[in-house]
Amino acid sequence: MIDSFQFGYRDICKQYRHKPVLTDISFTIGNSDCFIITGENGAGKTTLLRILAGIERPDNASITINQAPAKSWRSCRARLSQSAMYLHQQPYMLSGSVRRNLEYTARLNAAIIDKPAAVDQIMHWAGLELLATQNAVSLSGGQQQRVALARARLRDPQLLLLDEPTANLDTDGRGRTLLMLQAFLDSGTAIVISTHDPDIFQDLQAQALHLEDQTLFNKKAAPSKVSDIASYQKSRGK
Amino acid sequence: MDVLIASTLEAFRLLFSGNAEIWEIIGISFRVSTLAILLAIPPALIIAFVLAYGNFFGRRFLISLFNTFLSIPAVVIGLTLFIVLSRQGPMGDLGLLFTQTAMMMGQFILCLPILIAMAHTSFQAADRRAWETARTLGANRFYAFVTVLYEIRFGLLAAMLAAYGRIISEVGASMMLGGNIAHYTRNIPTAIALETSKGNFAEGIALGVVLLFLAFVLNGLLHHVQGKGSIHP
Amino acid sequence: MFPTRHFIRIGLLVSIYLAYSISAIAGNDTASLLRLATTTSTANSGLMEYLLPEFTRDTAIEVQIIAVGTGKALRLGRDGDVDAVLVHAKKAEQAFIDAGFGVDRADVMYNDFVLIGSPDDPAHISGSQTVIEALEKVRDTKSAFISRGDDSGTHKKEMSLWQKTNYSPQGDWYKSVGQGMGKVIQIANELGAYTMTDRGTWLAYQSKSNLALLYQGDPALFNPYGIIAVNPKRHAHVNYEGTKSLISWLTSSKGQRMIGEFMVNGEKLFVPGAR
Repeated sequence: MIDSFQFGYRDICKQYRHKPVLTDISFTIGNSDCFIITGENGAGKTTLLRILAGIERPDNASITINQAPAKSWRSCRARLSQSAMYLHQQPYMLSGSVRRNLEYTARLNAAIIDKPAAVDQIMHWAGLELLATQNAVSLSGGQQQRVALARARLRDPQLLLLDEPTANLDTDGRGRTLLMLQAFLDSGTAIVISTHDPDIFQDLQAQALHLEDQTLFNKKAAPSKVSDIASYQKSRGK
Repeated sequence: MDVLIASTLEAFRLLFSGNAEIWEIIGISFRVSTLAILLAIPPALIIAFVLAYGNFFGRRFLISLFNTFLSIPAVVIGLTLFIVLSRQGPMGDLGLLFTQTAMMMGQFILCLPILIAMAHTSFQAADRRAWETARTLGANRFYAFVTVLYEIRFGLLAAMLAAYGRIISEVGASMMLGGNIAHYTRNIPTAIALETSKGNFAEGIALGVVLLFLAFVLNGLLHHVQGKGSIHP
Repeated sequence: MFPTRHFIRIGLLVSIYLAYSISAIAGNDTASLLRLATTTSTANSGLMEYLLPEFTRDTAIEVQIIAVGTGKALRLGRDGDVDAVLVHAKKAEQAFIDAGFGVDRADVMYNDFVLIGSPDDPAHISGSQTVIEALEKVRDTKSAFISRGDDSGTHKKEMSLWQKTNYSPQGDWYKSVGQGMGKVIQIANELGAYTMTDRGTWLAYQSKSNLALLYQGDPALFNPYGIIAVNPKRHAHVNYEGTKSLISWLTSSKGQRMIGEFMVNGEKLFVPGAR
C-alpha cells in the first residue's frame, strides 16, 4: 500500500525554441487519483507527463509536496523522480530475459525484502511466467507493455505516468492492461495516462482532461480550464 | 621460398621448446599493453559518455579532435613523449625514459583515441531510453551509466579489441620510449625489428607468429561479438 | 544487471594484476643500475652480452644497453638520458668532451672497417693499394654503393674517406639509406652493391649474404672505440660511480683480455686498445 501523498504543481510553463508548449498549467494529484489526458499530437502531452515525473525541466513551475511550502521544480526534482515513474510509449526492454528485467528492478527497491519471491509473485500477477526466460526484446508490444507494468509494480511508485500505453495493444492486451492499472489504483498509486483513445479507460473512473492551446481543460459538459487548485478540487467533488 | 619455410619451422621450434628469451619478450609485450589498456578504459568510457550524452560548448570540436588523434602515427606519439620524458624535457625529473612505464604511457596515448571514438559511437547508437529507463526504475546516475555500458557491451568489447590490437603490435612508440633494452623493454614488435635487422629471420618470424595468432584470436572474438551485437532474433 | 559479486571478483582480479604490474614496473634501484648508450653495430656484435654479465658478477651493477646510431647515442649522453656512451667516432667524441658533455674518456678497443660487395667486383676494387683508390674506382665506375647515411660512427668514417677523395658522393649509384649496419648489408646484398662495414657486423652477416670481403687493411680504416662518462656536473642524477667502475673494468687486464678473446664465427673481432 502506498502512503498517503499529494503533489501539487502550479504554473507549469514550457517552451521549445521560443514556441510555447505549456502555459501556466496547474495540477494536483494524490492517492488513487486517475487522470486521462487527451490532446492532439504535438500538443505537449508527453512533455507534461515528463515534467510531472521530474524527468524534463520546465521553464517555470512551483511544486507543493504533501502540504510543504511551494518550491521550484529544480529542488523537488530528486523527490519527484524518486516518487514518480514515467513509462515510455514504447517501453525499453533491458537486454536479457524478462526475469532479468524484473530482477534488475527488484534489486533497486530496498523496500523489497525477499526479492526472488517478489519477482515470482509479480511475474505471476502480470501473466509473464511462461515468458520468464525469453529475451525481453523479442516480445510483442503487448507483452513488453506488461513487462513495463510489472517493473513498475516492483518499483512501486506513488505516481505512475503512462504515455500512450495502448498504442501497441490488441483488444486482448488492453483488457489485461486495464486490470493491471486498476490494481495500481487499488493499492493507492496515482495514475496519469495520455492517450488518443480515452474510451478504453472508462472503467477506471478517471478524470478526463484535455490538453489544447497549451492549457489543460476539464472535460465535463462545459469544458472549463483547470486553473487553480481550489476550484479543481471542487470539480472533483472532494 | 626455402628461407621462408625454414624460418617458419625454426620459429615453431623456438616457441614450443620453451625458449626463455622469447617467452620473456612475449610476457613484456602482454604486460605493458594490458596495463596500458586497462588504465585507458575508464577515462575513455567516461569521456565517450559525456561526449555522447552531454550538451556543452565545444562538444563537437572535442569529438573532431579525438577523431583526429586516431590517425596519428605511433612513431610521432613516441617521439613527442620521448622529448617530454627526456631529462631535458619537462617531465625529465621522473626518469621514466627507457622504462616499461614509458612504453605503457605511449601505448596509453595510442589506444585512448580508439577507445573514445568507438565507445562514443556505441553510446550514440544506444537507445536513449536505456538511460532513462534505468533512472525511472530507481537507478542512481552511476548505476544507470553501468546499465547503459551493459546494453552496449558488444560495441565496447569491439572497441577494446581494436585498441588492443593496435598497441600490442605497434613498434614506433615502444622502440623510442623503451629503448629495446634486452630483458626489460624489449617487446614483440621491437624484438622483431631488431632480429630482422640482424638477419635472424627465424626469431623474427617466431615472434611474428605470436602476433599473427593474437590477431587471429582478436579478430575471431571481434567477429563473434559483432555478430551478437546485431539485430536481435 | 551484473550481480555485485561479479563486480567484486573482477575488481579484485584487476587490482591484483595492477598491483603486481606496477610493482614490477616501478623503478629499478638506481644505485646498481647503469644505462649505456652504444651503437647498433657494437650491440649486434654480441660483445656486450659476452662482457657485461661478467661485469655484473664482479660489481653487482646491472647494465642496460640502449643500441642506437652514434648520433643518437651522443645525444642521449648530452641530454643526460644515459649514464655513459660507447661509440667509435673520434672526432664526434672529442667535440662531445670539448663541449663539456662527457668526461673520463678511455680507449677500449678497436676493430676495422672493410669494403664488401658483389663477388664479381664490377669496379675491381680488390687489388687496390689504398682505400681511397678503391673508393675512387667505385665512383669512376658509378657502381652501386650503399651508405649508412645516419650520422653513425661508420657513416662519419665513410664521409671522412670521401672527403679525402675531394669528392662529395652523389648520383643514382650512391644510395644513402639511413639504416643500421645489418640492414645496409642486407640491402647491398639484394642490390649487389658495395658498402663499407665494420668487421664485426660483416662476420655476423657473412654466412647470410652472397657478398664478399673485397678490400681491407688500410690503416685509414682503423676503427677505435671509446667509452665516455656523461658529465655528472651537468647531470647530477647520472650514476657516475657506476660508470667509473665500468670504465676501469673495461680497461682492466681482465676486461681487455676478454675483449681480445671474443670471437664471432670463429674469428676474433676486436683488438684490446686500452693504454
